[in-house]
Amino acid sequence: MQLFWRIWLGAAGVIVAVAILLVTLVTLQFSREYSRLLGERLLVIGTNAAAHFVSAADLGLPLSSVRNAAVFLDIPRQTDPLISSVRIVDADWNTIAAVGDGVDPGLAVADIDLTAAENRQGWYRTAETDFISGIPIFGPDGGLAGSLMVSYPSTIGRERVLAMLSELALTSAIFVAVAVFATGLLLRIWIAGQIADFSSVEDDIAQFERRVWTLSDQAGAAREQADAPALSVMLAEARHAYLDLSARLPHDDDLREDKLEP
Amino acid sequence: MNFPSRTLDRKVLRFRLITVLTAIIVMTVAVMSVSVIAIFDRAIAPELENRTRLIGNNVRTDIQRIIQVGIPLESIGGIENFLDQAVAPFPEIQRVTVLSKSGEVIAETFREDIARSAEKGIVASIIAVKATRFSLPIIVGNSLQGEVVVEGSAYFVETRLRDVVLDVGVLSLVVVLLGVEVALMHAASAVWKPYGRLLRLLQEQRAGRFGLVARPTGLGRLSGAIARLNEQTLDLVGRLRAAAENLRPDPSGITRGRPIRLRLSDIYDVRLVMLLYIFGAEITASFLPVYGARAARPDWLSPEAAAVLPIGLFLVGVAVLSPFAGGIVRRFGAKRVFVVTSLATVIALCAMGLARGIFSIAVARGIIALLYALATIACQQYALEADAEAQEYEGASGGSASAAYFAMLFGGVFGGSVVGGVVSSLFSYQIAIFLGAVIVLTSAGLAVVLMEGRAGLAMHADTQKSRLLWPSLGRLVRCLILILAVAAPLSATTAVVVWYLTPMLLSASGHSASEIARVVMLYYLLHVLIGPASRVISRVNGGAIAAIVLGSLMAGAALVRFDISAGILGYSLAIAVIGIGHALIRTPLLTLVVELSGAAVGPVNVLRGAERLGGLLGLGGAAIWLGHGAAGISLLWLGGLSAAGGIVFLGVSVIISEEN
Repeated sequence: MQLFWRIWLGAAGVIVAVAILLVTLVTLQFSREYSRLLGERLLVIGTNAAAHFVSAADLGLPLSSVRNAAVFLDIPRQTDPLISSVRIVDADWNTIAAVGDGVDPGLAVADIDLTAAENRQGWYRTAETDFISGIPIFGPDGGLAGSLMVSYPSTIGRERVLAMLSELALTSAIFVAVAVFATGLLLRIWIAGQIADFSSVEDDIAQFERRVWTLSDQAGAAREQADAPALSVMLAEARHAYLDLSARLPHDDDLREDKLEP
Repeated sequence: MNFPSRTLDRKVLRFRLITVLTAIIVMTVAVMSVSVIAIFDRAIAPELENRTRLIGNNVRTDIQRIIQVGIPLESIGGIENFLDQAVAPFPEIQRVTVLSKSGEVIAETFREDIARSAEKGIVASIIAVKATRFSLPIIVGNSLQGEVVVEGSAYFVETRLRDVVLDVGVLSLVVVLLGVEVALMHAASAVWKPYGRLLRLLQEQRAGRFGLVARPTGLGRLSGAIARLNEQTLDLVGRLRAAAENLRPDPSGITRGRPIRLRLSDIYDVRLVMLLYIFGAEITASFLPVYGARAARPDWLSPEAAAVLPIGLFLVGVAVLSPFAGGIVRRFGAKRVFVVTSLATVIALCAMGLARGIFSIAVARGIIALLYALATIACQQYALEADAEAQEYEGASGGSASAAYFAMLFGGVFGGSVVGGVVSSLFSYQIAIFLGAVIVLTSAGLAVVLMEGRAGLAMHADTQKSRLLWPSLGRLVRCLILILAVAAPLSATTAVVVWYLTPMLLSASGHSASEIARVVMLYYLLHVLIGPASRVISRVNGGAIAAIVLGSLMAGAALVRFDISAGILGYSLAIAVIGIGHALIRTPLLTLVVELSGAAVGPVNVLRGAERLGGLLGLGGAAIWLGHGAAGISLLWLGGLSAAGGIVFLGVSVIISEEN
């Protein structure tokens, strides 16, 4: 039975590993997919809000010249009240106008490497505590005049991912339990022969041990099965060989000083 | 020699374990996929709703603004264009409709591609996922002017998750492969090896020889029995030593001095070690050309040539070292060679991960090739020796060494290509390569612990030289035809189609690394699955020739029919057919070359050399043709050569065997 338990344990390990793999990959995918969906939505919201600033930039006016900037920046928050802040920054990431409170954009984007496409069409990243999406605004010469940045608390995304993870983990745990149980049953039936083989080896050894304890003679049994001796017989033969040689050697006790020289 | 009546059958246990595990894992993954899609769908629903509402809101606001100017809803021109632009950033929106007050459709945008992919949403229809649908009224002043209806795709989540489910599917096959090997290694160390040691000790002691002791480990009563036999030896040896002077004559059979520790080698010592090594070293299998083409390169080097360079140097490395690897392994011992080369492989992989230029990447890959040849041949040598030893002492072997070698070789590349593809697509190529280095390091650690006994040691000169008998002319001709007409096109096809063109062309048409990996791994998976069957076929009289001819024709047909503009399914099918063909060829090819050459070492080395040379030539041609935008020509050539090679070999075999 020990052999069965070990093999079952190994099989259970494989099933658990597959489940962990599945849960990890799905969670990673969810997190990526959620960021993408949220980022794209914030880009659309931000692009709508940036319209007035784009008009100003097209005329070559500095973004700071737009009056009532705070009112325009407040429009996205009416679309989604969870948006934590909206700000307009110049080309050096200095805030010109802002609504709500989020991380300092200069700090948040300092270590962001933007690709060429992102520089043109907008980008989104998780930075510190906020999920930020940025919409670039270009001047008449095509150079970057500034950006509109929409921040979203990243805790919301994290909570969604954790909620999904826990639900998925619980469901997977149930499936794993069922699968492990089924594997145990199948293995019990399918490798019964192998388990029996091992048990018979163990029984043989046990039989030999019993004979040694009871001091019964096994030489007769050994000679009967000379063609294909059982393990117990082989053990008995080895023991006989040992006893033969042992008899020709003096015992430990005989070798002691006091016994050798009385 | 006598053996106990009951032996512990390993092959049956392995087969049943694999069957049970695969069946259970496949069912579990299938059932879990359904629940995953349901959970994922529920979790992502709020964000999808937000997006659908946002787009409806935007459309409505703009229409309201136009109506406020005084233009009636029915007279607004170009709404369709406006709607198309509005939905462009939202791939999950299937339909946006603008309705008049009376419910008449004023304008509508409908995305056919999304609707078409929706038809394939099997799982979503099973769990009845509902499409998000929003209806927003257009109100100007106090009067209702119309309605904007936005409808999402019910199957969006499923299409997004299809990749994940497929990734999990192939990764779970890798886990099963590794899991079975770990379980068997465990069984070997808990049952089979202790049992082998017990039998060996018994064999010695029954013959009256008391000079060996063994580690008293093993499941159940095995450890006790070994301990008992150890005690017998230790007792006799100790007493002999104490009484040596007074004893005349000497009892023969008892070792003077310390008893020797018995270390037995076993195929299972090396199976997992080799699997992990190849797994790690081949982690780049599915993306190497893409990685090479993206690396920094001088202007005169085309991207196609840059992509070929690492693969080419790999082939050169293997070809250069293969003839000498056997000698080196015998000279220094399999264990030492394996441990040193695997540690060096770790360093080379790290260097490859850190390298930025194409030349350093190619050189690192070339060095890995040299180490790879040494390490795999060390494992093969160990397996052969361990198998011989097992036959000698137990009368039962753990399965033929070459079967184990092929299983681990293709299992390893299969695992490496899958895991490399998924990891590089989730994170980056570099992280995948570093993961490979960690896996190789693990294999080195396992080798230190597991590889023991005679099989891992250096061999004496007298046992090294195998007999070198020159075969008859007929056999030699058949052997040469086999090598040139069958082996060389096979190797060229593998290098060109599986290693080079498939990753390059699929990547160029915008497929992700994990999608490419799923296609490439099919080739190796089929080798793992069909390999044992082709071994059985080649044992039948004439079966080897039939398998080689059939395999060549299959590969040839698949290559000629290969449509390089096909989608991922077309590639999968072609790679699968080529995989089956090659799996049919490989085992009989090696068996026949060994058989025809009279077991001399030379022809096998020629085989390896010709294979690599074929691969190199094919690669060169493919890179040039791909550079000229005509990759299809190289496939036609390869297909023609494969099929013709099979037919020529068949003809020569028939003629020569008739003459004989």
